[in-house]
Amino acid sequence: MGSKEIGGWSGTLLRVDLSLNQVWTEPSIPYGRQYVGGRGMAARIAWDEIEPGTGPFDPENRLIFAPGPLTGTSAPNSSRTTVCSLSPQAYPYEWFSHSSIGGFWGPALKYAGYDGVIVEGEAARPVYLWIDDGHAELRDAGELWGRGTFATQEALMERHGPGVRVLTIGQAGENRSRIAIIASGTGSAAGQGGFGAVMGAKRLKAVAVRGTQGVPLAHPDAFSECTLNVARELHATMGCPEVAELDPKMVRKFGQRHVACSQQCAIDGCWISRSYAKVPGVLHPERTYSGAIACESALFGGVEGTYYDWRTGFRAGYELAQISQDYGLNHWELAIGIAPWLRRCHQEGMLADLDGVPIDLDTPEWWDALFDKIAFRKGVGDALAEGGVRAANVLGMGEELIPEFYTAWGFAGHWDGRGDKINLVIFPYWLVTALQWATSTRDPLASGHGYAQNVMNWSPMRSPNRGLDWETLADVGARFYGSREAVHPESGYEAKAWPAVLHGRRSIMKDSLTLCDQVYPRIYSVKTRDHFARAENGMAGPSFEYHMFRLATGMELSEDEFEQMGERVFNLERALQVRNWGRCRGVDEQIIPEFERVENWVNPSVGEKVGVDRERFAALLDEYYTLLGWDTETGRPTQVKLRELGLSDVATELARHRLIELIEQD
Amino acid sequence: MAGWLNQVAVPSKQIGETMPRTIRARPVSIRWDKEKCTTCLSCMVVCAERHTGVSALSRSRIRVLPQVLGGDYGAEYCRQCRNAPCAAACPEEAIQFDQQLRTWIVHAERCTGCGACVEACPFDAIQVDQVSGVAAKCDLCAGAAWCVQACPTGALTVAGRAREGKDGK
Repeated sequence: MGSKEIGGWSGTLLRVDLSLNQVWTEPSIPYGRQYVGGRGMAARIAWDEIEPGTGPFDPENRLIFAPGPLTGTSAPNSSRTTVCSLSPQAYPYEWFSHSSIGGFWGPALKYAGYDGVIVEGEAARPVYLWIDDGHAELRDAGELWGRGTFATQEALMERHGPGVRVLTIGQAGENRSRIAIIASGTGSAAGQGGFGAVMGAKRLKAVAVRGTQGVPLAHPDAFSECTLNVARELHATMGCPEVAELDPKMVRKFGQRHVACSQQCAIDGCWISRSYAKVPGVLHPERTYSGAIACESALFGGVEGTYYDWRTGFRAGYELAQISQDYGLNHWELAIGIAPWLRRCHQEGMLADLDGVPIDLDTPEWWDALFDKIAFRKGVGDALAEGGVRAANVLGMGEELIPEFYTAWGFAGHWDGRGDKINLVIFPYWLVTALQWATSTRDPLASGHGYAQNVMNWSPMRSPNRGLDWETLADVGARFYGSREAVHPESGYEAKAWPAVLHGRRSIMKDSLTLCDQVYPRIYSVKTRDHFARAENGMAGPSFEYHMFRLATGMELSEDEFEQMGERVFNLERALQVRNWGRCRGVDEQIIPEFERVENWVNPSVGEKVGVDRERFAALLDEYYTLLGWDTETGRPTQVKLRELGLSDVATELARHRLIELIEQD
Repeated sequence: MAGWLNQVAVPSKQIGETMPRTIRARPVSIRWDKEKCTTCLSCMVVCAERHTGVSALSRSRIRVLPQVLGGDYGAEYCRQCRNAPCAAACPEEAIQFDQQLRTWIVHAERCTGCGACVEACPFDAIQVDQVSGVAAKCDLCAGAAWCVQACPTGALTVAGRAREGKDGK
């Protein structure tokens, strides 16, 4: 796998030790050639540097900010930064997990000359990291401490110039809330994981970057040609139920417009992203809010006709999204987890009010009080700042109601047909989601967006007018998964393990290259005769990632070798789980009771709501581990698989801990 | 996409000839529709890649400028003026009108990087490239206008092509 020209990677990793107040660099390309970048590179650093017994708030914990080799290039939807660290939000194990943030920060870091920032230690006083085109230093953040994410960004842009891009925490992160985000702009966040609290514990308030250089490309002309072909395939409906259109009334009244949540977004008005220029506040009528809103932050206003049918209205909902972004709180956890759980506790008579504030999800005042209490750990907010699952435990309240909202590992439901009551998914598709939850460290967007969301959004159930019929979906599915049963609505447990394996790898690649989780891989299309996604030049949709990677980096590798890089990272992450937290089949199976509960929606061809069948799911897990090359009894990677992936040293280390057996000597 | 986008453009060849600075032919230029723009910056990255072989916002000849914390945003791009102040200001006559492409082109071998054109442009649409040291402005990619092709929302279009006569004045 040699090559003459190297591109994509900037070539340098930035290392920061807050305890020693030191900053240094090391080469990034040796990591990149094995582990791509982003999440893959972070997995290797975690394996090498985070010892068993380390907790998220220990100085020894690593906090890793990593874009990938495509970040900052013309690869469509490539501008994300993966954030990896030990997760304060994860429960009951505070294991190594990952999150991702869009916007402009990742490209700026690449343009400044770095492929990632790895932070260790703990500062004696609040500091921020200032990165300026190949130079980095720690600076005092005493004046910034206590400020929200908006004021912090404003202050740093005032100090360093308007072109500076900032990642920061708000008060929630400073106060080590386990549901604290790392924020940028008005609508971007590394939300899940509670990594804002890790920054808070390290007393790292922000990372400000000025990047005015560029990212080299190994084959610039061929690369730009390739990304244009990919972009053109993306210039159309994603197969979402509603094509994004602006509401003329909202345009006039509030300055509504489409906004890309990441640099290089090639989607024509993604339905989850909007920006507003002038929304008068309801809670603070003297204020006018402006900025982006995306996805779950739109839930604060309530979504009519769904379970999340509270009625604060658009204006208050928008204001609440801005307030919680400013505090640095996790919107998904608030709207899908904590708030509906508190409402149920109230309905069941367990909770009269929230320290005197009536529990009424229809009033913006209730939400505002909730955010304030959590961000500053006031009263009951001190427990809620631990996240819904830990709060139930601390307060000794409503623990039996938790499974209704939280699927596993401390995270609220997501494309599982149960905890998440807004994303329509039916049997048998959530079987793939269940396998992904089983081996994940958080809500697994691997299958969530790559498989379940993709199938459902293209299906006649979610897209009656713009989608595909079930038989066509199965035909297209056969091309990508190798069997029609992988996608057919009457397929039951058949052929569900392979999609979970494949999307597990693909998800890692998205977090490593980096690419948007929502739009890749490209599988289905309404623009080709056979409905298999394909660029105008004939390039197959699922191969887009491979071609962009090889042309940007200049790495000469086959498509199989590229897939294997994803598999390598998947196994390395698992090995870390096995070594540091005793991850095994028994732990994975903790998700089964949640999926034994019947689903939220009905598959018309099944005719009734169903739950998972324990025996059949056990067989499916066997199939899944076998395809992964793992031991079916223990759920641990085997020496054979690790060797095949070039991870012999990892196998040796696992054997040293007596976690796997060595069959052959290296 | 209009058919002309797929045509192979003929390279400019008027180097050395002194061209009039006010031209009669109607220029072809990019047009930016603010309402359609999502500030994805695809145009900028694509522009830099096609002209410099490097992915960089700083080396783009079109600049979309989002306010990270506000709702507003703007764009700086070449209007291909009939009476081009950049060309008039150039002491080396390095900026010339290409009759075939009907755009103003910087002839790099003549440019000394003095920056007179940068001062002269009322649209902030020309700058001295930080790496090459030569003035860089929109040349419509010899007809390909890659930024227009990459724009996901149709916010960028090409105005002044013969077949689009209706949008002329």
